[in-house]
Amino acid sequence: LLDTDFSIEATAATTTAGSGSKVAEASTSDYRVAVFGAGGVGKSSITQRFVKGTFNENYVPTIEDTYRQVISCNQKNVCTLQITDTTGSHQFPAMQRLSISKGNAFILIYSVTNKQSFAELVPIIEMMKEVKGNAIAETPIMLVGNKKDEESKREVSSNSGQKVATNMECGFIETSAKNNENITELFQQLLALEKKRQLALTMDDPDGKNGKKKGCHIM
Amino acid sequence: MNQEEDTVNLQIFVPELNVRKFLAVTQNDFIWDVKRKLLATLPQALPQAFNYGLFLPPCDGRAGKFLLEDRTIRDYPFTDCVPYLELKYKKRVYKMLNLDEKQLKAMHTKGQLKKFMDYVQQKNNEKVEKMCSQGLDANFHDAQGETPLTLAAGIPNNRAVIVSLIGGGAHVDFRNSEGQTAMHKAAFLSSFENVKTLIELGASPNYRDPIGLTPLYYNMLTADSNDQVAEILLREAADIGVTDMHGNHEIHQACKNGLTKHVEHLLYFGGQIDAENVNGNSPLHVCAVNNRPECARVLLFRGADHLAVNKQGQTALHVSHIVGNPGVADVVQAHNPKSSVPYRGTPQYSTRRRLSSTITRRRSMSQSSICSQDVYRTPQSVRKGPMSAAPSPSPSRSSRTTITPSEYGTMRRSGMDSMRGGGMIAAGHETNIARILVIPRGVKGFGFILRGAKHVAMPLNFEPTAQVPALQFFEGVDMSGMAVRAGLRPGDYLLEIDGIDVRRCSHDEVVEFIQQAGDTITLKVITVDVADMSRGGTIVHRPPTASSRHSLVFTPTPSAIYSSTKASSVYRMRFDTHDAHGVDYYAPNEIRNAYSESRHASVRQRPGSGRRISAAELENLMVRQRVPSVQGSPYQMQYDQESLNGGYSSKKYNSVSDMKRRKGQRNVVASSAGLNRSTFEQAAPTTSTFEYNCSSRSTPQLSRMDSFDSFDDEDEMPAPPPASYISPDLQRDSSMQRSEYSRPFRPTSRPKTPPPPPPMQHQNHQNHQYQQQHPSLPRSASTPQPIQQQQSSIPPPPPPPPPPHCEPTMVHVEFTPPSTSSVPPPPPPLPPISSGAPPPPPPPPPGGLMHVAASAPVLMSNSKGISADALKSVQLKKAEPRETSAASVSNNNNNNNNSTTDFQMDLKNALAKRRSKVAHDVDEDEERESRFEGLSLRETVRENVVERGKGIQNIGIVNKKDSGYTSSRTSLEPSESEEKDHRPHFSLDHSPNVQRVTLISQHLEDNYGQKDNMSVASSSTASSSSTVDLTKPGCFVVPSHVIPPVDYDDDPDSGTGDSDGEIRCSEISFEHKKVDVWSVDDVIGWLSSLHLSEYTPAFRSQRINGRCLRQCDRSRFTQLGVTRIAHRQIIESALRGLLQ
Repeated sequence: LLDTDFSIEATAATTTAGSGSKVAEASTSDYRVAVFGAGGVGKSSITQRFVKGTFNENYVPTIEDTYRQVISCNQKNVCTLQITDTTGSHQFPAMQRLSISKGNAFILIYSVTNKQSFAELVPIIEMMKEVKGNAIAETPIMLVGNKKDEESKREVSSNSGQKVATNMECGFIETSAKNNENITELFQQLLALEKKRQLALTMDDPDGKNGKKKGCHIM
Repeated sequence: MNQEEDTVNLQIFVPELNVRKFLAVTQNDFIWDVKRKLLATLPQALPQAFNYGLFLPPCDGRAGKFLLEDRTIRDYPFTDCVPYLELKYKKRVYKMLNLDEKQLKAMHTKGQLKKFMDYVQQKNNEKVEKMCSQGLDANFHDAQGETPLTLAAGIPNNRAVIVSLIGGGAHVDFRNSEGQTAMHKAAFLSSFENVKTLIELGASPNYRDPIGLTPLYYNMLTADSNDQVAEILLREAADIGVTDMHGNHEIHQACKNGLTKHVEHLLYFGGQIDAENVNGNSPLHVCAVNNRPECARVLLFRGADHLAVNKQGQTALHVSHIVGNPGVADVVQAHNPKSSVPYRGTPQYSTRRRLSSTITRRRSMSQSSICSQDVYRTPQSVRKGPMSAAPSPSPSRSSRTTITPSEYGTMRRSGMDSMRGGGMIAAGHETNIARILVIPRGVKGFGFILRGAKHVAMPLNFEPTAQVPALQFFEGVDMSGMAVRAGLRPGDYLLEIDGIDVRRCSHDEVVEFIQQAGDTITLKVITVDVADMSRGGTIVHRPPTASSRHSLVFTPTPSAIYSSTKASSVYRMRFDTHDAHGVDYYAPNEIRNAYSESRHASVRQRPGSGRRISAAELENLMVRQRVPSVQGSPYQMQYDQESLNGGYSSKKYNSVSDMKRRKGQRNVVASSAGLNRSTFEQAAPTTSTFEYNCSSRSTPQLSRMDSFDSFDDEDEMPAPPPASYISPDLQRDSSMQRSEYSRPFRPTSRPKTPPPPPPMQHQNHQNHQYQQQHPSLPRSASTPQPIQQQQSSIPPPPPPPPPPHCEPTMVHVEFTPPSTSSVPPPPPPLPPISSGAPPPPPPPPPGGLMHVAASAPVLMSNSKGISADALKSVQLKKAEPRETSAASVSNNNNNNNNSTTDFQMDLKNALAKRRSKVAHDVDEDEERESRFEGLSLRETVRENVVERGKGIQNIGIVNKKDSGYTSSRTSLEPSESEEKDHRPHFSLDHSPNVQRVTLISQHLEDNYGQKDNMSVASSSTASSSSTVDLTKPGCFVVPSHVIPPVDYDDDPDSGTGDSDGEIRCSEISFEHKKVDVWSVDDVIGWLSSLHLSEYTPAFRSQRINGRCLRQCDRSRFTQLGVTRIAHRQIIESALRGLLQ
């Protein structure tokens, strides 16, 4: 069972027309998360571990997939977490740009055992800045270093990742899809970064009795 | 996880048809292939099948999606789910869970969709994006058949709208109503920005439209095309070597439209620099025809072969001179082969796309001149399988035609051995005795046609046997020549010439020996046991009834030989098709080399072989199901032969081709005679006089039918009904197929050889004829005038003389008592046509003109049969002076045949584009109608039509080739009911032709029209080239742009008059009466003379006399039971001839 409690105050910031569209967008029921990264770093493994709880040892390059998960929204409603698992290798730039423009949050994944995959995130970050513009400051982004279980092959240190994340003003975490390590924490932190609405993985109520009677826990 | 197996058993459900299918596919199969297999197994066709996709349903939280067709099964693992897919129409896959159905329905009203298309047209990206976000599905067609994506792709610089549409759920490979994707549209309109956008959105450069063309091919179709589009498509690994229905590659189209940079890009990325289309033209030939000196310069600089020849034996230099393009001629002449710089570097491909490893071998393959069609890199590439298999069966079929008589002899011997004991062996052996003939040289030479193997690999490679005693044999013997008097027969093998053994000599050596002979030549020949075998078979199978006894007396040997040859050729063709396909699989290089050799030899194909192959193809359709690619190949071969025959008829070997054409038409007569024979068996004779008339009248038919019946192993019933008569034949076909397949493959030892050149005197005679025709050339300045010339110069046709049905019977009854053991003296073989009726003059309206042209060949074939009977009476009377007039009449027939060919060629070219589809349907139907009878006929035709319709859906490319082929055999005035019956089966494949509402369709139509013009130019250049070769210094030089019309001499006309007068004086028949005073018996006799005696009961019961016959029209003939178009046309043409 998960005992973590989140309480983030909703901040209402409406100053420009862009913010107006953001408010309108926040009222929709879907929350789109796009997962980016080089080929073979574990985008599909992390997503499937989170959605299905399974891990596939064989590597098959992904042709874009979409996963759905129901999460709570504003402590009362439910909405759909829509995770787009993009193509890592042989990415088409227009499709990449399209995913960025339609995404509400982003997960940037690299492999700690592959320095090249860490470097390939730079053009993606540049494209995100270009597409999102000034709104990128309010966009939840998580930098993820996967495959931490292979410590002997580590090429990217935790400090390097943390430094880049701090520079980008986004979250940072290291995970292991194989060992199911820090997967749930990754998505919890991602949802916590959302400022427009209060998103959580589970339905939590201050009232203990009502929670026990009505709430459902996603196992 | 377990290691994945290489084979996956897919379970595919089709919701619309509620059908569940299981397919065994491999990991490397493309999604496109899996879908194609599935569509082939469905019980009924889906509308717009190209817009159905394989859908992976949602599973374990993952949303459903359509599989991309250019991927393999391996890219979509089924490790977590059961391999289950659905075949669904490509709609938007909604990823939201909360869908308001009412809102969606309101969003998809007709007004909303039209508004959406207006926004796309106006490039209003914000509105488009908004409507997509509200749930509108962009995968639909508007009234013009366009989709939002194909509409957007047609507007220049429309990147934003395209991105919004794809982001809003539009499938990148959703096609418009004609089966074209947005990529085809953007490439055709040379919109570089749109092509680039679609590429970046994941579109494949190898989408195929329903006729198998790629966006790269579309980019080559306009003269103002952007070479950047071609470059980006090629960089994304677009397929090269895609061909249209005329066999043109992309590089042919680029040269045709003068796209110099496109040619450069194509060559750099591995395009075939000397690719050949259906007519054997290389890109350099296309430059010569279309006056593209810049493209020619690029081709020659990159290593094109300036000495390559097309199927008319012309190089690009010849073509440029003929067509009148001196610029290209200068480029070709100024070219120095040593200064060529071929491309040698490896082209750079995009790294964003997963490329197959075979692409790196493309350059080396193209350098070694290997066809790049073997590279299977994308799913659409598999469609080139039928194309690559199409030319393979040709060499076997061509080379096997030569040895047909010996093959038939072998079959007959083995057949007889299985039925009889040693007596028949002894009887057969007695025939194989060599005999010596002394033949003096006549006015036209010796009077025979020699045929056989042209080259022998080693002198000891051929071993004479009892069945095949020599390499050379006599294919034809002129009845009016000297050889027939000395005792030479068609099919005899040549053993010695003046004492020299020539059994193992090649064709050229034997011809040289014959030409070196003086006024007399001594030949040693041997007759293979064909005639005795067929006659013996008749005796064995037939009970000795009165009618058969009389028919045996009149059995002509050459008719039996021809009928047997025709029948065995039908079986031979079926075997060739099957065996050639297998050989292509095991030895593709050898077959390709053999095809190159036989391609040259096929210039002198016999005109009748086209019909023979067509019959073989029909029997293939009836007997069993074949791979569609194999079924399509005979059509392409027929297309080649037909066009080459047209070109050949104007060459200097005029007499040889005319003689072959007569034999080809004789085969048609034999086929129809066989049909009439079965009808005769069912007729109940009423009086003894009637019985005698039927017996004597159908003598040649009976003999031919007997030869055909002798193929059956078991005894026949006395009067078998038509249905049961057909089925033993079909069973025999299957057993024949198996027995033929087990035989060793021997055609390589006997390559196809052209007929020998005629003797010197014949050639002088030909030159004399052409000199007489030359003065008429200045009068004709354009194409319509030759038709007018032919129309005015055609003499009024005399009515066909009927055979004397009373006197020959009396003569033979008197001199030959009815006994089985008596053998009549063998009649002379190959009688020339004495008074064949020329085609009737066409009436002024063009509709009537087309009608006459369609019925002319049928009329001539029947009149030849009649003339054969008339000539027999002349011979039976032993009249000496008539032979001279018969010979002169033969010349008249040569001229008539030549003029008919030229006239029909013009009509074929004029009607090819418009009537190709209808002609294809009608030809198929007529071929089948002529084979079956009664109720089983309709059932079989309906079944075959259904099968044919399904086959066409699978092979759109081959179907297009069918259209190209049938244009040369245009059949006019099809009935409305037939059109309605055939249209539903062809609707899917012909939809690009029917709906010509968009720009692409119109331009493609113009392009195909120009292709037809190019074919006409090729054939006209061939005719002009041969005509120029025939001229001598001092003669009139023929202009290259005019097809010389054929004029008539006075001598043949007077010969015709004399012959008709003599024959007319000696006969008592309805011929001398006018139509108005004909009695019912006269009308019935007239029908029998037209070989339509099957309608005699109806005409007799309705009491149709001459006056009623004059007033009959089409509906009346239909009421009388003449429901076949061909028969009705025969009657109407003959009646029109009588009334003039």
